[in-house]
Amino acid sequence: MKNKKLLVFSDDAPTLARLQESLNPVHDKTTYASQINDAIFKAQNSQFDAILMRTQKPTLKDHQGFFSWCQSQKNYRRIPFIVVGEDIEDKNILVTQDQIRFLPTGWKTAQLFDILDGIFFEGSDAAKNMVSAKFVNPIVGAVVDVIGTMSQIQLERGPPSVLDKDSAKTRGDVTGMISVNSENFSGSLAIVFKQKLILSIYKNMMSEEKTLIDDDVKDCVMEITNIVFGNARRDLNLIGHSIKPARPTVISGTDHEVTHSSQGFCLHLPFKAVQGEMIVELLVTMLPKKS
Amino acid sequence: MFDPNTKVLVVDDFKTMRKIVIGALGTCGLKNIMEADDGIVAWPLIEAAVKEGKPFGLIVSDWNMPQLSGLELLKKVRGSETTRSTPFVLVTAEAEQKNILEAVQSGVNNYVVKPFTPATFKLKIEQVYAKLKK
Repeated sequence: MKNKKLLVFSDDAPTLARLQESLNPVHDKTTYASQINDAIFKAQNSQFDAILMRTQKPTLKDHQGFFSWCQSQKNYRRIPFIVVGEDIEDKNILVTQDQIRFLPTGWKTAQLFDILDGIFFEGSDAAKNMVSAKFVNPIVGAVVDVIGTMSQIQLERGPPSVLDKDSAKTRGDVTGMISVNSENFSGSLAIVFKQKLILSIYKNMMSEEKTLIDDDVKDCVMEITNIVFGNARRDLNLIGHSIKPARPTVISGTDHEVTHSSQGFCLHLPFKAVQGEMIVELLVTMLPKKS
Repeated sequence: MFDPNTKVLVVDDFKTMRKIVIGALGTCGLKNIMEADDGIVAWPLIEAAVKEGKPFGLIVSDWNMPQLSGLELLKKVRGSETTRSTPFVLVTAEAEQKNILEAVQSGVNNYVVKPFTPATFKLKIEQVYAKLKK
């Protein structure tokens, strides 16, 4: 999704503001237009991979409308359209437009991201594993906030990547692991520390120096994992997920390999501080949809 | 602020958080502290303290615990004639609106959201005391 270009057109200011609020933190390749002339101008001057428009049924039918303009353009005729509006239940008028997805009135951010993921990752393993921007910000925010508040250690976020866990190995000295399950997906979150960093975090949190990863340090890793998960879960549930409560476990051993409960692609988030490094990984697999 | 001799019970399944809470209570001048690692362990301690005539003057409990949650412990405390007015503070990592509402309806005196700094924790304890004195 990251490199795909999206044009958002809404002549309704509150809808445009809400779409900007949802998309800005996770997608910097989005262009916004609040008037049809502006939308056409922007579409003519750049090639977009998808268009999201807020409209109502009459506007879709209207031959002067933006949708009709796009249909008249060779380079926009077949690109994915997301239509958000109040009166879109009667899909007969659009029955031939199989590239259209509908975002119902009262949409939640998670629904918007699901549609965008479906468009931009369609058919890819990444889509099946839901490794997408919607998970990145709540997790990164929770990690930075929890470590920063409790140990006054400022983490610098590295570039996120998607790893194939069948081949790529992640290693650390102590790892907090917790299940991430909802009705739609199941997986695990791993918070992987190098010894130097976790001993610095422990010292600052507990005002007590340790030279080795012992039971106290492991308990500290479990509590950090617990709080990161709790904070990220709160934020993810606010955008429409229903992630279930879970309890962390801990794995330790110098340079151990991090193993998730399932295989596949996972979101890999590196962090760096003056005191050392850590990695956060999220591996989730979509569950079959209930009929 | 609470009398330094106030008997406090800290309930959390993680030793790390119990130590952090105890440290933060220390900044409030509170040193007479007992610990329990689950609500199910805490409740008999609370009952025994009442029988001994030395009840707890403040309970600080984690929300999510494996056997008896902080909310369930709160309900037990509020449901008993002898402990229903004991100041009770919940510590939680989630703070979902509906959870907070349920805790308030169940009679919690205050709640602290993890992660927190000692200063934030102290402020929450001071708020509890201030409300009790009104």
